[in-house]
Amino acid sequence: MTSIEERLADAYRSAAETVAPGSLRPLGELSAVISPRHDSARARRHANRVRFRLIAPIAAATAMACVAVALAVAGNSGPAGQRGTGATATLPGDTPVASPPYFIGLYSDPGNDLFSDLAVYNAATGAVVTDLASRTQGLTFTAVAATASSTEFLAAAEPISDGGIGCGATVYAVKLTAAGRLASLSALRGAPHPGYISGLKVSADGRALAMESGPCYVRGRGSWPPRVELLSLADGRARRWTPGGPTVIPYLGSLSSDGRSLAFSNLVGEGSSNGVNDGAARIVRVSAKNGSLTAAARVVVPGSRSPPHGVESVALSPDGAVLYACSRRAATAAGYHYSAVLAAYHAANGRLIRVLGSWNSDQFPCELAMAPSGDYVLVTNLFTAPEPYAYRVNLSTGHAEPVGRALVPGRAPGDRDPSMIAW
Amino acid sequence: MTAPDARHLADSPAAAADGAAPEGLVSDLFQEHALSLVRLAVLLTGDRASAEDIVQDAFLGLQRALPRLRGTDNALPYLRVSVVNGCRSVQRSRVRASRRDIQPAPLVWSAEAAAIASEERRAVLSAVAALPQRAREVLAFRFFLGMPDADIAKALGVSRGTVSSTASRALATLARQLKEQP
Repeated sequence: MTSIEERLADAYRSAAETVAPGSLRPLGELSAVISPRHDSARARRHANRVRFRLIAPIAAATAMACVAVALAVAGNSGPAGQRGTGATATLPGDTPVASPPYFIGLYSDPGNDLFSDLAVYNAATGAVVTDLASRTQGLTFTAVAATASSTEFLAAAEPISDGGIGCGATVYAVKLTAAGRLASLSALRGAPHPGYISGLKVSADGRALAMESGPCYVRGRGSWPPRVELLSLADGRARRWTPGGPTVIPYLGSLSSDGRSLAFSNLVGEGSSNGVNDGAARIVRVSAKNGSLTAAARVVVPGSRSPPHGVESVALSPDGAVLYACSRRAATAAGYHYSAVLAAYHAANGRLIRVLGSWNSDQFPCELAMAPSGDYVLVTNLFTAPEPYAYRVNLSTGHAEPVGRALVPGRAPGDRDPSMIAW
Repeated sequence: MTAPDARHLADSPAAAADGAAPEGLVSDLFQEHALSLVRLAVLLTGDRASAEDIVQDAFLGLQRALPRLRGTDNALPYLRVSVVNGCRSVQRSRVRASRRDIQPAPLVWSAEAAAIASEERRAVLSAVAALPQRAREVLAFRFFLGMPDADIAKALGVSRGTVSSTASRALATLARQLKEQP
């Protein structure tokens, strides 16, 4: 042990001994003094998200070579309980409503970001309509996606094992009743089963699935980075790209309705040994070659190499013509360091169309959840109670309506909001 | 180095039992590991009150999560992750509080707290506190808990190589900074 290591160990011991044996409060006894974390218990969502993206990558083991074969052989039979007829996808395809009544979200147990449950929320009030935890024992959810139907969603989950995220992800079709209750939850046949899924999107026509996924994690053996796939559920064809360099940890934004364009962002400054994100918004087309994600994708909104400024979340209009990006900028009001700006850009050339809204907030990252119709977007992950959980922005007018707080079941306002939502 | 707390966390009879959670398991685990976990949280936050809150939260979360953990040997990994996440939340809350001119409690290694007599030790801990969050976590797991890099990687959700390189850089930074101090 070197000198600095010995000094460090000695200092740790001395600090640890400031907590004397027998001096702890009994379990369950509240503190007499409210600690700072109780003043604002928010701001976990960025950690949640990053955690899943950094836990998932260390997961590793089996290959996904069987995926393409499985897809080709099995085809897809659609959501819950619907038996497929051959190779055609049967995901919901009814005309999307402008502003769906519910969104679904992932939430974590108090004090632990590792395991996430699923809940249904009222998109107008943010109130919990249904907590699905009791129906999903033994699973931890890692990603959600909205279909064109206002009552059908997709969710990726893994079995819980070994005190951590398990091995073998499944995409589930989550079907709700008109009242927002769970009608059915069943594996989406034809979807692949990678080790983990950290990002999931589906096209409005239900024929394409975008996934950020990787192999299993088994006892410390793993690989990084995950890969981004664009899968045709109709015929099993797939494009696969490997993140790296300035796109090393991508965040999937949305697919165009025809499933041919995938918009994604990456938080500037996040990285691994394979590179550091540049904070740009990009679009990758299904026609791009397999291989490097950076090479296959086209930059639409340039990033910034100076954290925290950069694009944090994106959404693509159903026709793929307009890219909506939420970017970090300097604050415009005292008391804040930063603001989040929602703006629309031409997807073809990156030209700014208009700024739709701006919110002073020091919380990261801004997240967008677009209604399948492309008329509205929920802007969230920025606000602390008692402020609204999100704003519903009319993408034609820029008018922003506050959405009441979305609470994790059984928790106090602002304590633990959903870490990822699909609307 | 000696790491008694680490051994407690790694090899507990309560944690070795497998299968369904027995009655009183959380209480037993609390009796056995709360001290070590609070001490870990103190090292990561510098704040005794927050550290106790974090550990209380972790055990309450464990109570809820036990049915899904499929075996009590998963309880300690769960608790460790809970504590680390709780410490991260405290750090973020502290940053926001400082922007609003809210004075947090003095850190245990500050002279103001007068909890650690040795100036040398306070200097080391202050230098550690200036390191990036992940570096602080890696150092605490390695030099306080005495965990091997593979276990640290699993607990922190990063690769083993990241643990190794983070520790190496952090130690180099510490050595540089502490040498410069009078």
